[in-house]
Order: sequence, then structure tokens, then C-alpha cells
Amino acid sequence: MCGTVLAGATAPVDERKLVDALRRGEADAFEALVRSHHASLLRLARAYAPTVAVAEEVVQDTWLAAVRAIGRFEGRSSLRTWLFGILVRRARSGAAREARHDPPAAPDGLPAARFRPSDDPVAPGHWAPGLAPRAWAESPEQLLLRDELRRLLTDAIAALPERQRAVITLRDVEGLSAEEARNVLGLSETNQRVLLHRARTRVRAALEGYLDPDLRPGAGA
Amino acid sequence: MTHDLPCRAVAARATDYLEGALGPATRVRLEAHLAACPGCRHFVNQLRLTVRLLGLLPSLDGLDGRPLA
Repeated sequence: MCGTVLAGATAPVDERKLVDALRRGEADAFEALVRSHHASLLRLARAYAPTVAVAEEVVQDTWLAAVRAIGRFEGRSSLRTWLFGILVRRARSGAAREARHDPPAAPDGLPAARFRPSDDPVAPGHWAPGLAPRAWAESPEQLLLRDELRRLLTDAIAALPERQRAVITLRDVEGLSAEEARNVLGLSETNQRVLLHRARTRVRAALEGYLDPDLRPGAGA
Repeated sequence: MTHDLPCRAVAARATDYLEGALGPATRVRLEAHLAACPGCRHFVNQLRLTVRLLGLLPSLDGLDGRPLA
């Protein structure tokens, strides 16, 4: 999948050495671990915590739990996936959970109104006239350089229900495989895919509002 | 417009398609639909693009590693 060539991916061989060093309690090893994974953990913590400050507390809590548990790390998953699992358990049981007041969920990414009804005489279930997706305006990679679009993506994720937020963060932002994400979150294969689909279609809809030439703010339509 | 799979079903199964989770028969029908339907083609490509853009977010985080939001 996309997004796997990102900071935070650690080579397995180095990882084994790192785990040994962590078990010996070497401070340098712990610093290296934090440097590699802190940003990823913080992004995932944001899926559960109401503010950046609370997310940082969840991550600190995760680091403490990880130090205590490193002796039990069996290497069956990557260190990163293992850390994600600890974080999710801490976040679900901790104060972050109670403190988060979710905004009303973003509208469905695929509202029924975009399609002709099932009893439509012409083309049942097809895109309603004028409401089929159209080509987007600019090269979005270029647009990402604008804070505006980055903000739009992070806001779109923040507006998702918690489980969708966690799944899309792990899969599409952090680049985990479906299996890794399922293990971290304890989801069935189907459930993982359903949550991912809802999350992706909602984020796509947010992008559409910005990138469709006619829907775009300031397009004058 | 007269495909045997309606656009709504294509859109609903787009993630299954991208995840390689469709059975071969459904995949063939879906791909035939995509070949004939620009709206659904845009939809699927835009989902792919969404995934790609989200994957770029970590590399755009602030230099101190803090997420932007």
C-alpha cells in the first residue's frame, strides 16, 4: 500500500538489537525508540484524545507502559505495531476516552441523494444527474504544500467517529497493513474494511468540496 | 448508463475493490462498469488519491514531530 516508505518504519534486524538494548535498560536505546515512533504515536493518540495536550499524556503513558512491558515483547509484530497496541489499550481505558466530546459526525461520504432511486425508470442506482464525481482541479500533491489542504485532511479525520478515525489513521496515514490494523484494534476483517470505507469516503467528500472545480469555495457558482 | 452494476453498488464496494477483497466475478463486473462510467472512475481514483494524500501527512508534520491538528 501507499504510505509505507515513511519515517518510523524500522528495519527488523536493527529492531532486534534495539529490543535487546531496551531490555538491558540502555537510555540511548529508549531515546532512539522515542525518536522513531513518537510522532506516529501522537497521531494515533489524536484519534482518541480531545486535545493535543491529552494526546501527549496518552503517549507518555504509553512509553511508561512500554518500558515496563518490553521484557514481554515477543517480536511477533513490529515494535511500532506493538506500541500502537499499547497506546490503543491505554487510550481506551484512560481519561482521554471520557474527555473527548465528539462533534456531530460528518455527513456520510456517499449520501443517498447523489444516486437515482432504486425505482428510477432510466438508470436505477446510478449517479443522479449532475451529481456524478468530476475530475478534480489541480494536482493535489502540489496542493498538499498548502497548509489549507493539510488542515482540511486533519480536520476531516478529526470529524470521523472514533473507530473510523483509528482505522484510517493506522491504515492510510501510518501505512499499516489491514492485518496489522486489525490486530492493533481487535477488529474482524470485514469490520476493518467497512470502517475504512466509511472513513475514506468521508475524507474524499471533504476533499471534493475543496477540489471539485464547481464546489470549490470561491468558485462563484 | 446501462451497466448491470449500478453506480451506487460500485461506490459502496470501492474499498473492497481497492483492498483486493472482491471475488473474481464481481471484480470483473466492477471493472467493466469503471471502463464505461467516468463518474465511478473519478470516484475510485479519488479514493486512491485520498489514500495517497493521507500517506503523505506524516512527512509534512512540523519539524518537532507534532501533528498539525
